Amino acid sequence: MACLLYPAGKGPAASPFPAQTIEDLQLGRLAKAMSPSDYYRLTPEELCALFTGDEEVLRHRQAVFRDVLRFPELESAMEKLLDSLDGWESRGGSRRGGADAFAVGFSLDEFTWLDGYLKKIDAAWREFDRIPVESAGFRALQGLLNELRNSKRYQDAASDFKELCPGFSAPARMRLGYNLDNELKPSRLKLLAMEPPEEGTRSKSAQKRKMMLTQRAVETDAMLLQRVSAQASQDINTFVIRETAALRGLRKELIVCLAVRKLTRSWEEAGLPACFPELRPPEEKAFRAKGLFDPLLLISDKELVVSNDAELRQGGELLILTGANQGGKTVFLLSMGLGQWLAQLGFPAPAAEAAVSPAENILTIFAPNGQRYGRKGLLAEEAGRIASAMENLTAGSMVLFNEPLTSTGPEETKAISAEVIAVCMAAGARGVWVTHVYELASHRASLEEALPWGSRLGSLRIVLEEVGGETRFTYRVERGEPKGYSHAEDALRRGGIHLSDVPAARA
Amino acid sequence: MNGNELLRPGGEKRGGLDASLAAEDLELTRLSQLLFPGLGAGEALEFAFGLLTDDGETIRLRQEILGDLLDHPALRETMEKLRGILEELETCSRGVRDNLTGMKVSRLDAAVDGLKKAVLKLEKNLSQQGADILEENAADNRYAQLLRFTHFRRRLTALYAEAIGLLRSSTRGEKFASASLRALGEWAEACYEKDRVAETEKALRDLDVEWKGVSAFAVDVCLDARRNVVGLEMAEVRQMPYARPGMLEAAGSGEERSGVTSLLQFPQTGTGTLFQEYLLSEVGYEVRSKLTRLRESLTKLPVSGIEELLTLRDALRFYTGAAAFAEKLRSRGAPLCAPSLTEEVTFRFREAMLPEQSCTGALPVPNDLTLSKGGSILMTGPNSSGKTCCLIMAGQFLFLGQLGCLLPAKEASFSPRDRLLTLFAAGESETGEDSRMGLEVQRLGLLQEHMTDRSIFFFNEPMTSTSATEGGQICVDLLADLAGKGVPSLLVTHFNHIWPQLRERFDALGASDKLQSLVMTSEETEDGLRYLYKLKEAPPPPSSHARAVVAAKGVTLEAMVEALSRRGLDMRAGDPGWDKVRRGAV
Repeated sequence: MACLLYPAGKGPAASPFPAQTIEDLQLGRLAKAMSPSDYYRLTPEELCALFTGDEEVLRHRQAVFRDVLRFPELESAMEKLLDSLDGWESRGGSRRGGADAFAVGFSLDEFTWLDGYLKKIDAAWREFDRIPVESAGFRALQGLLNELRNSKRYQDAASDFKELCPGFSAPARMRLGYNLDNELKPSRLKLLAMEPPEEGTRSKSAQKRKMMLTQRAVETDAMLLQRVSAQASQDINTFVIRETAALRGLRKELIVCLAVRKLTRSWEEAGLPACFPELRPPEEKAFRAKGLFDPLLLISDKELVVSNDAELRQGGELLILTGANQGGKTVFLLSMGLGQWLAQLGFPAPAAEAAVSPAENILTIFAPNGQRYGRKGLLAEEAGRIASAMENLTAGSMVLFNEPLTSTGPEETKAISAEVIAVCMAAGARGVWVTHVYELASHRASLEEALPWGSRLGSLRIVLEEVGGETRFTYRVERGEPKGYSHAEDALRRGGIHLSDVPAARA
Repeated sequence: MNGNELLRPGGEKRGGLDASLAAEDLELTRLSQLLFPGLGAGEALEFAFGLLTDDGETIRLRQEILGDLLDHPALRETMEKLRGILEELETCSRGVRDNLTGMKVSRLDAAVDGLKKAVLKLEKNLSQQGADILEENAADNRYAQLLRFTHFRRRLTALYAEAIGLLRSSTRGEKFASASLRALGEWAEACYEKDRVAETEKALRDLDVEWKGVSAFAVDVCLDARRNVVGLEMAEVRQMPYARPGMLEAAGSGEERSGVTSLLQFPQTGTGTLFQEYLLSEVGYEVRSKLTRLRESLTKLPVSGIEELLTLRDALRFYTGAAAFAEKLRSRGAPLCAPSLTEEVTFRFREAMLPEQSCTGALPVPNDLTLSKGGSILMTGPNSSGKTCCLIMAGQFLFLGQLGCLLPAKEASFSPRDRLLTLFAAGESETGEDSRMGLEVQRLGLLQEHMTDRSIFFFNEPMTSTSATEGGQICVDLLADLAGKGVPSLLVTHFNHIWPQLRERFDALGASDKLQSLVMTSEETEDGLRYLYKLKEAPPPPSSHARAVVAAKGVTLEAMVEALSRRGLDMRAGDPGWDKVRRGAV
């Protein structure tokens, strides 16, 4: 039963999240970094399934996550509950690994484990019950645990299972069959038969050659018997899993809550803020953030994380961002894209303050990789992506373009880009367009004049500092007209590239 | 006879070609897999890397053998069969080598060991020392070695006889141009006589009647009331393996079921490995009499050429792959030639076709491509017109040519290189660690570190992640810099405007004859742009026809506005403002 991420009567929306956006915004890396552990791992697709514009759902989640951040003891309670739920999940294969491999003998007794599991449920119930949570989500969880803990099913579980598995009582002889591979190694084994204790003495013809019984043989056989007996008890476990299906629906929700805690903790540790964005009406198309940063920089262990303020004009604005190579254009673009995405998961945003209108979708067009698409034609690949984005474009879309359409002649890049910008603008989409084609920004007024509806156009530029005759990056972004130079040669110099005959030939 | 002598003159490695920095861009992994289909992607490339050479004699030796193979289909077929045999033979050879102790178990040992075991069991019950001796004795894997030795030796002898017989029959009486192939035939004939292969084959048939091998066995595990293991008994040794499904398996699969559970993986690590040996020793002990008899018969059958036979593996892999590749090209009607080596130009290819496409898809349009010694080619043309394919083709031709393979071209010659270096347009880094420009700069730095005057550069639309003016200027600087150092290069780009600057720079270097502008052609038709996929020498065209490419994907102003209007968005399709956008007047 899901209750933490959706209020009663609500569930996941059916609309799929664009796979291209997952790749371009590097949501896989972010999902991995926020996952509580390698075992409790979230995939970007799982997180994107939570993406919503439903204000009621977002407020419900914000309240739940506020509880997570406010009550540190919730973390331990959730971990315990998750641990016990996980027991059921992994029980599917019914094979025990780890320490069991060293156990002496083999076990057909499921009760010890079941008792342990039931105790964990009891402990989780007690822990949750004493935390004064305020959100409807956690209160519903408390109710669910209370109902489970005091249900007849819970009380009767042990005895039910005791009745279902009386058969593995006392086998006196278990026959194991081994198949050999081409190199004569035993490669497979199976339990061939189990015989009850014999009455009387075996006839001489039924007697077989006794093998040498060593300690190692005893230990290994115990381990093998464990494996084959686990296989045989699978039916029992299938039954158990079916009975406890309702509980397991909570697993992902708890992992998401722990992920929010981990994500915000990493920001706190780096001295960076987190805030629950104020939710603005969709028609406002608002995106206002102070101290906005790119959370991916923390994953890359960047020492310098520069925050920026960002704002889209009310009613929708498409910002054209220009400036020096390696000056932070892509980072700014990602900050806005991830800020919007996190806000629409109901998560805290990477900013000191934020106000966001839900977008209907986030569409991205990033330059494709020449190595991957070189032969197919980079431009064709990119055109395909633009066409796909256009199919999903609405007046409520956020669009993020990162140096698109560079794989052709400069004049053609400019002309086609202007048309795509015009269409996005007229459609009312908001977002950012990163480019080195400065005219797209400097000529925006005439485009706005020609199409006086939909979104507006703005111009952002990268701020550089002149210190002692040298240009330095600040990684800051400001509103203003483009400077008209991308400092590509500086990038070459920083990379240690010296083209030997350049000065002479140019002279 | 040694397999290396089929790959290198005198069997010694000479020269090389480092293509590691170009492998991804030039799609060499896929090409290697096309050549050596039995190998995984990484393995095929590694194998090819090990064979690459810039030594002319080595290349000619391989071309000569390939020529013979194409003229003698029976030998090619034999080599294919031999490859499979050698792989198995290697396993058997290792199996025999690793189990030589199995040679030492005599019939008397077997009898004495039975007695010893009985005594030890008694001692175990009497003292700790007895138990220790028993453990030690169990670790003695002589009977496992006896079982494996006999098993592998039997298979090895059969495979050896088959391999030598095949080689002999397929080379006997044939006239090969290659001296190496003639030597191989003579060696096979000598082995056949010396090892009396015909007699061996008959002896093996007789032995098979007596012994059909072991595929499975069963052990009873005896338990006490507390489920402690108290005894083990050998239940049976079988020729047939046990079936996969057990009695708990759902019925209806049609497969025979046996036992309680389905088959599980036997643990291949830790105690499982040691236990395997223990079990196999017990199985060997169970059938020890038969094994010692069989072993004695087998060791009388000679296999004197086995070590030399095993050295043929790499040569067989290369020649069967390269010959199949050439045969495929030929059967599809693609041109085929053995490239000649020259120092006059970097390369000259006439009616050349992209190798992979020539093998698998519709035959590509053939192109002529010549790069002068230390010169540069500027290749331009419409988007998606085949420029990248042409660049990849040139790189792959050098790779194949320096392996010793035949090429899909009417004529080909090249000067062997020591390194293939590529810089392709970078996309966003997967980890977001650096910008596109930053990635290209890093890559360029790396290539410069590895470059020598015998290297070659392939650039595919580099420097597009900055303004066109700056990117174009860097491309001019790059090509001029390389020409100054005598390093040949090929640049595919849409920076058509750089041609005058480039000519000026090459003039200043006194290398104007080394610069060439090639254009991938197309023609305007009533239905739009038609690609011809044909290169011609001409200055770069004014347009890259990008609109045609994006229009094919539905990215035109009209289509976008119409589609969004249809979906109910307020696009005002009839607004005069759209005319301004269309005319570029905004």
